[in-house]
Amino acid sequence: MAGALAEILDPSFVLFPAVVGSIVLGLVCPVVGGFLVLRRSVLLGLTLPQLAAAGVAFSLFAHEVGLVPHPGHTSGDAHEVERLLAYGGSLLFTFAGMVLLGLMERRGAGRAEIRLAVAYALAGSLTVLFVAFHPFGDVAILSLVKGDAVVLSWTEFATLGGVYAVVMACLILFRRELLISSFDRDLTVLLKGGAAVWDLLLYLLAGVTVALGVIMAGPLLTFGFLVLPPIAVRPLVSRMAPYFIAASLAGAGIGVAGFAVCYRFDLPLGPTMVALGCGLVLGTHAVGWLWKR
Amino acid sequence: MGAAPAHPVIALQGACLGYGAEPVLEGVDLEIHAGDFVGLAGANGSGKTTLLRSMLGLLPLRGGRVERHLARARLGYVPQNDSLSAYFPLSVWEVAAMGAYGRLRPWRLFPGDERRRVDRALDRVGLGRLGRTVFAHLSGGQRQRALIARALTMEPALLLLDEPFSGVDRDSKADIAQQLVDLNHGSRMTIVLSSHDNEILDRTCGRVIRASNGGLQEPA
Repeated sequence: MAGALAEILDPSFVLFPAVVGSIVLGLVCPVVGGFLVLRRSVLLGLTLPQLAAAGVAFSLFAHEVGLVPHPGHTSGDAHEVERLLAYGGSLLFTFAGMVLLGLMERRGAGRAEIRLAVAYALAGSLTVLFVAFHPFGDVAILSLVKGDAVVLSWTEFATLGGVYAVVMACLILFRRELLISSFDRDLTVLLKGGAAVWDLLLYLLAGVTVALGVIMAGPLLTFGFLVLPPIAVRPLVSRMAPYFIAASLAGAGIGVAGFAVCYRFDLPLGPTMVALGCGLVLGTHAVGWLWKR
Repeated sequence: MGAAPAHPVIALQGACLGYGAEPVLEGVDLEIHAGDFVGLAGANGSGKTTLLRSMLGLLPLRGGRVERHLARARLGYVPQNDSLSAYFPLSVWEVAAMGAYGRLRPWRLFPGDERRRVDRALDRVGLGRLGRTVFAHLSGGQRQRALIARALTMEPALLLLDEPFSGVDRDSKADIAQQLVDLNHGSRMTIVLSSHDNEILDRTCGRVIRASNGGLQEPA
């Protein structure tokens, strides 16, 4: 395993951009997800990636049946246009879904977990149906819908890194506001005039993180990076800053370790990393339980 | 005879308060003056929390009017203990420090004078040595005192406490009540305190108002 680790962390390694991309996903997603976990909105973390995946599938379907203009003539252009469409579809479906869910919450339409469960089921089925209706719904399209960090190029990494740097900067800059609006909404009204603007900021950051993450890594791995690291570190920390730092480092650790395991044993990336994350959750909760005893 | 106080800190006139279609309290006329220590008695569901939230501006009035002669940031609020999630990994110091957030711009680090203010607030409620303790691990009484410290960090002119004695043992009740009396007498802080414990309200507060049957009654 040590050999595999050394090999994947060598900059000359052919998949090195994907390794670095996984680390960046692992560093940023858990910080966004940490707020969702603390707010007990884990289901939102599950639903948003699925909405983004449905958006990717829809955009490719719409492109193929002529609802959006066709790309240029070379295969390179086609790939680039597909990527752009995937970004657009992912962002569109993520934010449209969030707006709809937000409106339903304001109107008090049913319980939150029911709304999210229905949205998740709908998005999941739409993803499969859009792929099925795609005239050339082949492995390549499925790979884009599922996300695949292994094929991350330096250009895609630059996009991911740039956007996630902005997300991280916002999370650090507005850490106090995001904390009190999550912990005590009444206090937020007294001290900051209202909580809605901070909710909006958090969901905006979550939407961008998820929409991009799903294209790079797929809904399963994005959900895993969002919620598993913060859940895993929760029993081990008792203050806010260490919670977010530990979650972020755990995410990056899962990214590196997951890549090494996949490379060594030739396993699929997303499921392997998520399985590692789940193992970490079980391990830390067992340690926390033993510590309390 | 002293001069009559000028403006009340908060005044409600003919206020109708509530959440949904049914009002919880109607025809509420109430004035809170600087230096008052007002107890708000009443059974569970009688409208005490509704009244406090309306006074704070957290709940819009359904009718009537409210006048506040102080900035919202000068209102200190101690919510009911069980209204806050115990899942947050927060130390006692971090909870108390939230009271200073209103004075800090996003890009500012937590300055030294604010740190000292938090330390003083914790010392004042007797939790100076428990700053690093996990908030969720505190007893009910200690948690209430941590929330009072958070409100004190806000440097409020008016402190409103919602059921601070619920889930608190007898000794801690007496401690908290004494600390509130000290704040009212020593710092001339205006306090409104809700509780269904009539005995402690009668013993602690200068004035007790009762919420019942959809209205407020104040003994003459």
